[in-house]
Amino acid sequence: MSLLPSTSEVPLPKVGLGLRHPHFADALTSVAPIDFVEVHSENFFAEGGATIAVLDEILEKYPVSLHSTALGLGSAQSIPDAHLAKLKALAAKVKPILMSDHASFSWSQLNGQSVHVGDLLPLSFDKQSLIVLAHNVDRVQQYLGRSLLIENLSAYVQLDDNSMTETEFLVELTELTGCKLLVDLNNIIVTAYNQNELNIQAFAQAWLNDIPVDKVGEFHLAGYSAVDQGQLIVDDHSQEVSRECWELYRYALKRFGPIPTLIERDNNLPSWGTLLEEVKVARNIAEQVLSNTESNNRLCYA
Amino acid sequence: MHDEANIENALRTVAERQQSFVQQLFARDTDDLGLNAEGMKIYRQNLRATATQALSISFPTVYQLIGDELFTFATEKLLLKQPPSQGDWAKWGSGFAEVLKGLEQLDDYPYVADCARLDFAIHYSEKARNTSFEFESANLLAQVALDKLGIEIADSVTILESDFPLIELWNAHHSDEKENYIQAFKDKTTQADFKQYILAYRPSYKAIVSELSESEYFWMSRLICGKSVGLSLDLLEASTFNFEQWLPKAIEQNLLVRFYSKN
Repeated sequence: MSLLPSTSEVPLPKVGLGLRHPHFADALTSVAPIDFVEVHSENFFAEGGATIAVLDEILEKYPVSLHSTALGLGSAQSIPDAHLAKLKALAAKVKPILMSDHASFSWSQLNGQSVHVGDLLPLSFDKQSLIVLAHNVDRVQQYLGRSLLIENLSAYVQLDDNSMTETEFLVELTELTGCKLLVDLNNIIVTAYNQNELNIQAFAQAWLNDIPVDKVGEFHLAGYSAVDQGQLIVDDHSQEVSRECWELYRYALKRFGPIPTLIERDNNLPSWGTLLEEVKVARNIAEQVLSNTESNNRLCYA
Repeated sequence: MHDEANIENALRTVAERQQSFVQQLFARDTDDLGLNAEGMKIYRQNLRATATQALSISFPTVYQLIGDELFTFATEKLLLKQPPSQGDWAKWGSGFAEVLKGLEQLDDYPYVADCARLDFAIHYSEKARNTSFEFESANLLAQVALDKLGIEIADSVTILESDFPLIELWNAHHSDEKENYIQAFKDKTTQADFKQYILAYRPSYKAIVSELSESEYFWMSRLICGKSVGLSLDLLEASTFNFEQWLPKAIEQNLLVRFYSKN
């Protein structure tokens, strides 16, 4: 296992890296100086074969976080038992340090057929959606016998039924179910841009201020591809962590403390070494922020 | 948590909304989507791109054969005809061969649909449950009458028949001796009444394709259907199939899980 001893006396966050197929060989050749890797659960749903053998090797070298993208926890259409059974079997094998999915829906009906859209579709922030999401999160947590982290999405559409803010919605979810939040800092930034907010950092910081300090279980850090003015930014996980995201990370560390942090990159993958450099940056920022006397004056808005 | 009536009510209300969103997502028209037109375009592009990428992994030979544009077009057809339903893109695509068969752009390339069947068989094989032969079960050969004896075939095994030389076509896209296989494909395609029987199996991690004789093919198809060893042999009476020769080879190829009594 690769848990680097910290030279600092200040508690620092565990910093991990999203592990995707093209980097399997790099990650397995030698143990990288990271605290954990995050894999997508559905990529390991196969019953056998090489993928499962690779997973066994990963488990020998790193603590693993299981990040799911297909539970569709906000779906009114019931999540099939067979899907949950696969996730439970995987969790029993992996014994993940964290388990997460999104505040989104995926299961529905199309022309009378059951469908899984294979994407993270948005929820209305209202009482009805909250009841459905909480019902599903509760069901899955009971079934898995552990709590989940629920991630905020990037917004591309404005739904008509919203009657509360995203943060009110998510905080109420944590109170109803006992789950915590996986706060994707890049998603907050992308949402701010897509909603034409004038001051991106002010919007993002206010978003974080709405979340009580004990409700966050993980941060995701990422970048986004630039678009022409007037176009929506897509959360494509294809760029290095943005300057804005690093800045927001400083703020989030001050507010929430040493929360496990993941560098997330899914597309346009750079070398494994380049990603490890981003892990170093995250660690340096955490050390600066959390050991700094000025920042030890933790901001408390909860 | 909320009471049952509240939950039922919320499930009904939200289900309607979500079905309406999904209907818009799968629609290809450009009806007025109001303020959300740009956002819906992103979701539509995501769906199309993810589906195409997933199928290009499951059907690598077909992807090379027909190219990105036609492959994307065929993917869209499959999305509408048989949308994904399992939450695992790797499982999606069982209807792709049928979609390809119906494309007029492929009227002159009738082997592409069969090639899709072979691609999917290999893809399926590489994700199937790991098994190895249970040697103790071979004791049943001496204990149970052949017409009461079954053989469980490994999940990683698929057999196919085709009117085209698919093995040569597949090797032309996945081996270092492309030219030889392309030539062999051309030569065999011109043969009258050509028939090929194919076995996709996985001795270890990588799936392999090989050719079966006609009798081996029918023998294995009967075992896969759950017929007894005795009945399957009887149906092959006039053929050249030799069980004693087949068995050790089948164990070596990891085709078998175990013998079992059908009592």
